[in-house]
Amino acid sequence: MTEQHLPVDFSFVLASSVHDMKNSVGMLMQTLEQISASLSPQDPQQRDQLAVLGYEAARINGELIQLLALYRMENKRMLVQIDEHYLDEIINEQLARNDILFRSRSIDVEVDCPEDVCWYLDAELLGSVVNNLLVNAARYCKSRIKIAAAIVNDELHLVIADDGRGYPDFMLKEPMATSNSVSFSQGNTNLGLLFAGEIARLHRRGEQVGRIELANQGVLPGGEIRVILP
Amino acid sequence: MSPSGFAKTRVLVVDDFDNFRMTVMRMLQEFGAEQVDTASSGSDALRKCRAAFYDLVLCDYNLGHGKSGQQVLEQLRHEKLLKNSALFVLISAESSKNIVMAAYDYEPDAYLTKPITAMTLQQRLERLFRQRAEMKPIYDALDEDNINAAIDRCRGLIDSNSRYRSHCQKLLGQLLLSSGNYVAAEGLYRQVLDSRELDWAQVGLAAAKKGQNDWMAAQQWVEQALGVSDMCMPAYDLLASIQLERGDFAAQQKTLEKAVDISPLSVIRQQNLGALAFRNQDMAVATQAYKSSVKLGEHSCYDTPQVHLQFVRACSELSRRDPEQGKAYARDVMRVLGEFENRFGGGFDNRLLLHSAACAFKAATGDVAGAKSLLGDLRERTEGQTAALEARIDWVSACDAMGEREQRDELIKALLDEFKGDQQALESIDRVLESPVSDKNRKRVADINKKGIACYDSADFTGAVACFTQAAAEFPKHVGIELNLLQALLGSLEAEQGGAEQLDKALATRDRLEQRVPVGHAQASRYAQLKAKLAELAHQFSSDGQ
Repeated sequence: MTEQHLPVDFSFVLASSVHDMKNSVGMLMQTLEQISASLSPQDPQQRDQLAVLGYEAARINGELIQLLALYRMENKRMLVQIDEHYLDEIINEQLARNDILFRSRSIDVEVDCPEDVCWYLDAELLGSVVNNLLVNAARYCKSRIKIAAAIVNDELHLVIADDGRGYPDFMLKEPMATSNSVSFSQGNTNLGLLFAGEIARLHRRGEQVGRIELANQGVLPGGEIRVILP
Repeated sequence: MSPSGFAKTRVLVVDDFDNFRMTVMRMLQEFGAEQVDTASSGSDALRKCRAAFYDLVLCDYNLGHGKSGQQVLEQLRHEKLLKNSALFVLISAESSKNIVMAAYDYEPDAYLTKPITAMTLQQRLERLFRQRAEMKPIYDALDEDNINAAIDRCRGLIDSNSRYRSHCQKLLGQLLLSSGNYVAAEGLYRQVLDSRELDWAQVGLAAAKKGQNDWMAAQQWVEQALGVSDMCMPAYDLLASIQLERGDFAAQQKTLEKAVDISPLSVIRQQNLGALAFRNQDMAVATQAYKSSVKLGEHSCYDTPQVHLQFVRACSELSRRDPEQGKAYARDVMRVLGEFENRFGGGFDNRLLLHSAACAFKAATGDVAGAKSLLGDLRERTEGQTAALEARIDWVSACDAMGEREQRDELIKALLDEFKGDQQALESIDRVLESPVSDKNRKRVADINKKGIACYDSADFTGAVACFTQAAAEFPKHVGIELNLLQALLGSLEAEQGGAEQLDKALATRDRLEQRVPVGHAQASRYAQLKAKLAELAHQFSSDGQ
């Protein structure tokens, strides 16, 4: 017999099953949430274990959302709805989503975002970027995260910083190069950076295009990512 | 916000999972909500909303069997069971984007993505309440149908630079458009566009231009919106309505086909495409769109018996033209026919329409004996009373398919006598006539002919061919148009504007005409002349080629 290819597009199969997985993980997270809510507060050990479960499920969920979004971008089926949105709403929504994570790890999150900062962006897409960057920062920080938003030179700067070890040099040079950012041995594929960069790039204004910048020892001693939208 | 905001709020939580319903209910009670009801299905939710007005409906998108959350929303708005100030929040495990694409007329006020935590829910609801509180005077005016007051209050909030300025601008734009204030609407959208290129404002500006009958500008703005985001569904719908007004039905169909391709889940868009393609006599597209409409209509408030019957009629037409393609739909037709009475009731009128459509389908698919006996039966049962117009048109089309010319002519004569002067009825009858009788379609034929003949007279044969080709597609039974097409093709061959392709087209046109212009037909001698000319040219063409 000769070698045969699958009669279907593999990336499509993958995307459909990612979609199913995401729904399952969503159910899992919802159930976890219900269990934590019904647990008595005097059982700290169980509570910590649940927090670990919640964190890992949130990570899987975030990665699956990213995969789907990247698939849609490649297939030009990505709906981008740019409109005026308040940044404090987007930030607070993601902080609320990860509240249990921050509390269980005793992470202090500082927010610097005046109420009136608003900008033109896709709120759902930027929300998932913020979520991923927060979950990532929670993984690498020692105990502090800072998130800030401001309009600088007629562009939105959204900054997420932590007090961890910071980014390695090769990533600072080329944050979007997938070849060097995939590091399976460290358990981190940096899909998050690729995703953040791609989402930023979907935001355009005339000739200007959104981008991300990485730095170390900015507002906090660790790494800092800056999402800039024109 | 103050906890009293929750206390006074009447909430309905809709989900088919008990567990989730209870969790959300408990969360709401913890926030201080005192009046929380729950519903486990779409129909349960509708029942509760008919009994009382809710301030907030939290509804899951996936409700298992029956209606989806989106369909619940559509029906609530359709039946006006939600006040303008009420909030409808759609909860789903998916990102909202897929759902947005399916929404046609109504979008929820907010989307929430699972998993939902107490903190995310509280924060989101408080945000929505703050917005509702600030915009309450506007919603109150709308509930009283006082559009002018609502417009003034929107302006007031925009001028005071409210946090919800952008919400107010969108609402104001819709109000100005729906009340016919197109110039004011244009001013508003231009002001928004001055600071940023936003697709909703471009579509709004296009609608304002359309309202002022400036089709060119309207089309340009829609196209600009589609350039910014080619998945902007309202832009497609507006573009289609502009093309409809301009009478460019072919382009309108292309636009709707594209929209349906991107977002196949909107039942109204599918129905519109089905009706349009049927009108354009593009039966392959019409059957597919009607098939989708039937399927999507299952739990939708937009479903009608007409859509099901049109599906069968489109299948009949398709089968007559292309039996192979038609065969593929035979099982779907049987199912639609079989479920019809269960779905829409088996009253006399319904059954008459149903069996007439079935009769035409039998005739079209070669079951002459079945069609004949059914037709006899139907005519006998309606003897002495007036049967519905659509049913009788189906009888004509059945006779046509069976070659029952006498009965067909008798039926048509009776219809034309009875509906003389009823333009809408005449337009329906046009579809089974050789040449249309309604004013609208007659004018259309006359216009296209005039345009085509003008091209022909100025020796622009390519233009003439294009014109008559489109007309022939729209009025496939019209012998005069087909003859004009043949003549234009011959002209282009003679003037050497066309090559082998035009010759093939001319031969195909002749083949179509062959059975339709029998000896004794009013146009028989003209046809004979054209046929002779074609034979001559075909001969020349083949000897040139050697």
